Amino acid sequence: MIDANVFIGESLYENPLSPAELSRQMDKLKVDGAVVRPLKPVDMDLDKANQWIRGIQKDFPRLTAFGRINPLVPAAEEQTILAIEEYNLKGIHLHPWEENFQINSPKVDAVVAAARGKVPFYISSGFPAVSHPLQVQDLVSRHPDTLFLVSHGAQQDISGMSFEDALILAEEQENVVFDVSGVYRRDFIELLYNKAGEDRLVFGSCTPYMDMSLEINRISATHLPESVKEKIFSGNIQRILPFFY
Amino acid sequence: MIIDAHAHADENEIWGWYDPPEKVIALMDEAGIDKSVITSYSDDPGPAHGLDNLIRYVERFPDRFIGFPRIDPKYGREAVELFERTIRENPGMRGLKLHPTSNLVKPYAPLCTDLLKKAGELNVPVFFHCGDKVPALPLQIARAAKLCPDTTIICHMGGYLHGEEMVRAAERLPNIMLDTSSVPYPQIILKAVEAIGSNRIVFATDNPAGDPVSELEKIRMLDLPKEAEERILWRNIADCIGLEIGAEKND
Repeated sequence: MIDANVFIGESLYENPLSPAELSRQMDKLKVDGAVVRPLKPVDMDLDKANQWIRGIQKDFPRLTAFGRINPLVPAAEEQTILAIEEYNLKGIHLHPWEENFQINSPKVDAVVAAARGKVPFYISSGFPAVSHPLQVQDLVSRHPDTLFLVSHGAQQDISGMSFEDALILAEEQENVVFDVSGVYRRDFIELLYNKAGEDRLVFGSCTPYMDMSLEINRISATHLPESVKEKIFSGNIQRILPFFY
Repeated sequence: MIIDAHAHADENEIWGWYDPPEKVIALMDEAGIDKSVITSYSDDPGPAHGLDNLIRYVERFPDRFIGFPRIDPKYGREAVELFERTIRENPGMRGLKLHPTSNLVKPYAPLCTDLLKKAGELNVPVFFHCGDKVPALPLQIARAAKLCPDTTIICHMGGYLHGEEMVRAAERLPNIMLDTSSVPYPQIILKAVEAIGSNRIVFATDNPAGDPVSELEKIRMLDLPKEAEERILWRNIADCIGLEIGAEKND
């Protein structure tokens, strides 16, 4: 089992998670690997956080690190290239809610273009005004050669009012893969499976914001075929990030 | 004993949502849930006959379902009268459901507080859909709760983005109870227990949209003291709606 969406490090939001503590959680829950990116650090210096997360991979080989970029900072494109080519990070995470930018802003296009399709981008999605599903679609449609992973099934809406927009994203953008962290609506997970297909869903828990144990249980409890659950838990992310094993 | 304080059953042709009672009961059985408070998908008065379906389902499965009619406050006096008549004429109806995102009436608007006050008079609780956006924000519901101190209001813990705000509001207002569905963070339930105690929290799943198995696991994984867990899983809602549970089930 591989968790595609975990944040680690010190945290401005007082929810720090060390790689050692994450490893303990993974052992307890029988999670074999995790894709990690920095929490928003107290000093808000994401380039420094990217350098730190590069260093932890040697001691924690089960963790694969993504960099985190704030497209609003003047050096964003340069930091993106550094993260990929110098720090050898395997993807880029964008968190429009915490860094306060709209995901379809031209500044994000510049960051995605700087990566030249070499690595996937992971987007914290479904936040009002900054990463609504159709805002995500607006971005990803302009970058067909880049793979995007989006959290929360691209929507966070307890009324279900954003489901259809997320399903449009699934149907019309083949370069998007969804994690279902926090999607307590089982009907939406099943709708997403119908639209995106079994190859475009991954397990990503959004730990430590969400709870890894509950997120595993959420997928296990769906009425999807076991073969599909296996793809969600590991097969799909191993295909996307083949360096895992 | 486990009672789910919030689930749905309805066959709504207008929206194409078909969740008949048998489907809901099968999911309850899978999770080990004994009884559920159910409501419809549509508001009444209205074109979709949700209330007729609800009354029929509760009459068919009186040991498994308790009904909360879902009423549209926009209809003013007609809505209040329909609600009162439904409660008085149907012993299986024990509360009111309000969905501001559906009916678009602000919780603190007079049209809505008229209904809330009627619920207080009838001594039944009101279950609010709560979270994420206008007009179902925690502070909008809290304002309504303050205007209607004799009415018990049960609501979600703020959805994805307003959990702590909802818990703080419940801390200030003793007539607010919180349900555990529609929030993906187990830790916010612990915070709620710390802030308002386990007597004002009820287990709920939003079945069949929400998954009863993982919603129940969300409570079990908290490792609450046995008495607190029992209160949350059934005792609080049973007390709130005046449900008498046989002694043999109390073990």
